[in-house]
Amino acid sequence: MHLTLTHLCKSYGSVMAVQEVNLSIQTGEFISLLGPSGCGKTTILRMIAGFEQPTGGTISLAGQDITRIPANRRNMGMVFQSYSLFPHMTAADNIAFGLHLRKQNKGQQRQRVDEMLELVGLGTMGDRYPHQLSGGQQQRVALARALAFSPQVLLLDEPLSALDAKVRVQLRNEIRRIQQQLGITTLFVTHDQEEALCISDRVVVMSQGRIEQEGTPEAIYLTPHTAFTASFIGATNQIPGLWLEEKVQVDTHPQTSLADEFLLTQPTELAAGSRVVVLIRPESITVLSREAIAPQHTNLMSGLITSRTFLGSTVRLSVLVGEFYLNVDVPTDQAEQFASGQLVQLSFPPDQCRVLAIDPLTQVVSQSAVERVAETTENSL
Amino acid sequence: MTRQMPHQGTVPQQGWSWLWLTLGSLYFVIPLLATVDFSLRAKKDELGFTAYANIFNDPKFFESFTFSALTGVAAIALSMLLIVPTAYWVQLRLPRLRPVIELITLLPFVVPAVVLVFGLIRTYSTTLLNNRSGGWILLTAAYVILSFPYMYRAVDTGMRAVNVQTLTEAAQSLGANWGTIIWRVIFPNLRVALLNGAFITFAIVMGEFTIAALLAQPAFGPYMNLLASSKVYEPSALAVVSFALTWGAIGIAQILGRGKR
Repeated sequence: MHLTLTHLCKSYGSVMAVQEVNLSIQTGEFISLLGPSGCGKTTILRMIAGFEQPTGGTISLAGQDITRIPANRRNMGMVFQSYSLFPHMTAADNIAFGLHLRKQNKGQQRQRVDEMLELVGLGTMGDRYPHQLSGGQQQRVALARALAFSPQVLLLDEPLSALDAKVRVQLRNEIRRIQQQLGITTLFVTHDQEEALCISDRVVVMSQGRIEQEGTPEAIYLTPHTAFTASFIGATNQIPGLWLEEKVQVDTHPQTSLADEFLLTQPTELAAGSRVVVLIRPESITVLSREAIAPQHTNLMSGLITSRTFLGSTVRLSVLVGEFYLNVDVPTDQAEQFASGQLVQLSFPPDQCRVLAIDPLTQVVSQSAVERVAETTENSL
Repeated sequence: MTRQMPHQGTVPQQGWSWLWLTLGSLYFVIPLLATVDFSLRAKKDELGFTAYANIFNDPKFFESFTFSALTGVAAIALSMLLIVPTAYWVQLRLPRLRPVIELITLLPFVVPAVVLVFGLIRTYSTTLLNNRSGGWILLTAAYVILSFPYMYRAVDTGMRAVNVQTLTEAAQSLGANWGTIIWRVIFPNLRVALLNGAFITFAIVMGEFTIAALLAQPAFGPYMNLLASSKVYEPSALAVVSFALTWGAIGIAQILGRGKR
């Protein structure tokens, strides 16, 4: 294990910013900490970098406890959210800064600076000052500077958030390419789920200072363990109901449903009669006109289209089912047949539905039940 | 095509602006021109630079000028060494202390120079002032205090213009210790702010009289005063020279300030 966080905590007065975080990162792995603002992801990164002292727990790098080691002796490269190049130095001087501090001779410094400039695609811009570079170019130089002295870990604190959308996509692909080329252990903080899913080996979803779920981007997206993960990663419909062993009696109005019971293929250890929530992605629901219903369509419910939103490759329909509005995504080329005010049938494929237990006291998704569901799911895979 | 009508009242307002500007300028320029004119009349019925020549030929002029200039440079250096780390730490770690530090730096505006110097004399009369260079050390220290409002404000403004926290953390992550960060990252980015503070401090030191006179130091201020009590035209010439020095210092600060950060 390369980088390990054990029972890591950080509090500011009575506010717990990070609570009991345990995380292990393998050498060469690209991990994203993903979550909304204030979830503690940047605080974790800053504790790893040495800018914040944990109030509890330890941070280990290659087996060595580095919790109390000052930031300047941790040998970690970092790229910041705001532009952090030294304004009085050229791009080349910025990149050479860490090398100079490590007493490399001028020739070695020049050679390494050239290599780094080539690596980030700015071969001819070494003599430019930061104010002569665009935002994307500045972040490339910052990346080159963070990598120049061959750090053990690369820390990226939302380095793309200040850039426009096109440059962001371009640079995130560059970051992934460079990370794979150098094989450097990387921790990337972002609140952008698309960014995290695109470039990570593993995604750690955080909420309120805790890890909600960690796993591959596919696992996070397809098998969310908590309602928070399901709603934060992509759009999700949440339908409450009652667990009746292999099926859920949903809470929609009975008169609007052809079947008010959902068949599910997901194995769980939930007790019959538990309150649950059924999670399903908008793109997983099939919209049908009444004539198009076929035997393979299960879990059918009827609903009324209340609005259509064009999203480019898809059209999002808002469908009123009983007392609930559900989002349904339809490919744009098939969306013409559906209009606002139209009555339609919705089919919910059993294998696309996830069921999570709701704590009867708090009415939120029960963690223990979620873990049981997760374990059962993992065992069955 | 439509023509935009001028805003009602713009013309009369502009007229008033020009009137007040002209009156204000005359208030400053007329005495200055009168001083210049008077300084050129050392010889009867003839305009010339005799008074200026008398000053520049006086060895005490250069002695006092050099003394004040060196004291000014020492005060600026000490002030920078004191103010920059303080302002840096306040900005980085103790932002809640900013109002307190600002109040402290404003004290020279509240405590008159004569009170300051009597305090210094009473405190150090039996210790530092018994030494040969004790007076000069106290004078320099007093000038450091006088420079606080200008130096702190200039440095604080300069630090707010750059993202001190991110630059510090970036340097730390690259392996820099505190000394390297302040010397190689913070100081160079405060160049303009420091020059501004330095030149204003220099201008103040060159014209300061009260502290230097009461500490019995051979500074430029007391020399000007001495000259005023014994000569007629030379004090005016010296006032013009002093004025030129002050404006020259401020002008240099402005020119350097236009360069890149």
